[in-house]
Amino acid sequence: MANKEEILGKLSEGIMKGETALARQAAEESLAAGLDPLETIQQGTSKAMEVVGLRFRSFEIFLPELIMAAEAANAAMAVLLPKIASDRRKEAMAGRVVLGTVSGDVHDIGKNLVSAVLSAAGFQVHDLGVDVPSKKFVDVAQEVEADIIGLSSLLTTSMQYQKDAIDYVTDMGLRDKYFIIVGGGPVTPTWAAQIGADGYGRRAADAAELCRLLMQGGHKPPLSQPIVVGG
Amino acid sequence: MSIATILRTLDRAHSGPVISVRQWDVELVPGKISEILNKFDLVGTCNPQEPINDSDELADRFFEAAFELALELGILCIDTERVIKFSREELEEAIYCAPKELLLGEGLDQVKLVARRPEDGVKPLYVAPLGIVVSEELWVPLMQAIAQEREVDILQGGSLATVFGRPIRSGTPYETLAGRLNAQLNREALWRAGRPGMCTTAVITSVTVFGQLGAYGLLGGFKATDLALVLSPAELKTSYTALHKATQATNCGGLILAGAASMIGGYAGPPEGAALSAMAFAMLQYALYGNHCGGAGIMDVRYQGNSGRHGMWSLSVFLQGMSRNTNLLINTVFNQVGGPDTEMLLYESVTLALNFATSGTSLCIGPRSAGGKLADHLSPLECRLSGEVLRAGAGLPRAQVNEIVKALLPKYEANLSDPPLGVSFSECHDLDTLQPRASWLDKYHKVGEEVAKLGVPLP
Repeated sequence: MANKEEILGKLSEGIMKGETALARQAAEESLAAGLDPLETIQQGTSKAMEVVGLRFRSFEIFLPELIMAAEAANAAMAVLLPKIASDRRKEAMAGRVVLGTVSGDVHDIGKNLVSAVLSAAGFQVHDLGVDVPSKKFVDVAQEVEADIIGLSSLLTTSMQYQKDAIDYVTDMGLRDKYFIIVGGGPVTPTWAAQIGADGYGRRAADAAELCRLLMQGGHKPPLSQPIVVGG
Repeated sequence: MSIATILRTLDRAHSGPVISVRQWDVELVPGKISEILNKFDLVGTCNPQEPINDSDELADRFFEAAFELALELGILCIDTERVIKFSREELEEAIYCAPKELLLGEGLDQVKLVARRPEDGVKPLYVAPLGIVVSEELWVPLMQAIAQEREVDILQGGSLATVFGRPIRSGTPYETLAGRLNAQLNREALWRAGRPGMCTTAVITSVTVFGQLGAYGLLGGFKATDLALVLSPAELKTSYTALHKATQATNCGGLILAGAASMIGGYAGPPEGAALSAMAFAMLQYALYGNHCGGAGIMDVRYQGNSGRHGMWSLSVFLQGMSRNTNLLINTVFNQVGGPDTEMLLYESVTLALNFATSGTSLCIGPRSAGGKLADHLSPLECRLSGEVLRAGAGLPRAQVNEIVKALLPKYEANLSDPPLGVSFSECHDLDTLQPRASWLDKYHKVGEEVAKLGVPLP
């Protein structure tokens, strides 16, 4: 049986190369070897994604590699997370995010970047894709017990659906359950404040810091003013 | 676009090879681009220290590689998740049969769009502004002020923030109404500017097809002689929305201006990949849509603009490769990030305009003042300078432009990721006279004088 270093090395390799099957296999091996799944996440998955994030920022790799690495990391997390006692799961990941491009908008590259950046930062991301109705954000957030709902919009005419989504969450009586963050081309801190969002990130790269600030700052939604990163 | 072209495209959108959007984005496109960059020995050819390419051989090699990429990949229809591919003969025919010149607009405002070459002495046509969000109350005065700039050839107009005071929800009748209002306001602005015959593009306030259907080719709306915008959702992709718009334009006997964005750092990868992808898609558009003018903007995902070194280089290779090897009418896009009343916006406008003029674009669209992020952050003065430099830059050798761009880049490139966003139109212009306020005009003169001293023959 492989030792801890070998298993973690295999897990890192799988993630950094974007090889989902390898990452999943390494995660399974770690459990079979009796390794603590939380340690495997902290010392294997998270560290590998940090390296991936740095490589993307320096343009050694690009969006496709970032996405594939995030997918591999998520595959490993899917194996490891259920094996962690529920009271320790918060240590394993930075938070759960439901993310999508709002209704009427099919632009996805910014949203995909945010998804990958958040995964690299240790968040578990449920990416709903594009043209997502407000109801679906809420349905999935409830299903996965999300901490944060992320609403992306690249167009002024779809920006209104960010407000619609926040209004829907409020009307469902769920506003105090989820942090809601907004971003995208035409979105500004002023708009975020106007529609009652909890956070705004100017660039995709700002998403990780924004979500960390929300999760670790002792805040409870809804915030009276959005946290602004990069703006 | 002919009915035969529409039907061929639609038929293939429903019968072509199946592939998911994810597989296309993450596996097939990056893999194929990487393979072809290697095959044609294009890896590592981007030299950010020399941001304007002046190697004809390199531009031609990129073109050859892009043609092969176009044939191998085709275009993905995201609604059907099928690939629309073309044979070599079909692609060559589409390129050959595309118009080499067009007359746009009427009367004294008529302009001629022509195919250009690198270092061409003919000024590229300038479409202003990009579809930046503009409040309803400022829309007409701002667009009037822009249309009054003589170096602006075609009015695109900003994107309306509201329609009769209501937020515009894409895909709803609000959008349909907004498209028609957009047309009305365009006509008003052009009349006030004294340029009633100016060509416009349509319909910028049209995220889905509804804005276009609400305004293009209709009585009182945009005319069939205006350029119908058919913007693809991303490089190497099309959608029902884009195909609707192309079909609608054809139904009206209209002119089609196609485009998309190619991303450095995105699915196309490095600057070389973005240039290659932009060229392949620009070619494929002609077979796909039968458009009259096609092209791409290139963006760097790190700062959502293209005035940095890598963006400049990619743009120069893209434009030179296309203009040296075809007679197509090619368009591209200014993607500045600095805002009005900042020197940064002016420097970015100059470097991009010089690049476009010397690299052979037929038409360019801009500005994207303040990165398009803030409503009403747009002014005619950056349009004026851009147009003046496009005219002055036409005929300048690429090597000379490269030296000028190298001298100007240090003045703003450190701020690309955190640019000054400037002020709104009403803060930097007098709304009664539509003239720039003194501080903004002073900056324009300062930058103009600097640029003239570097060798750009400004008026």
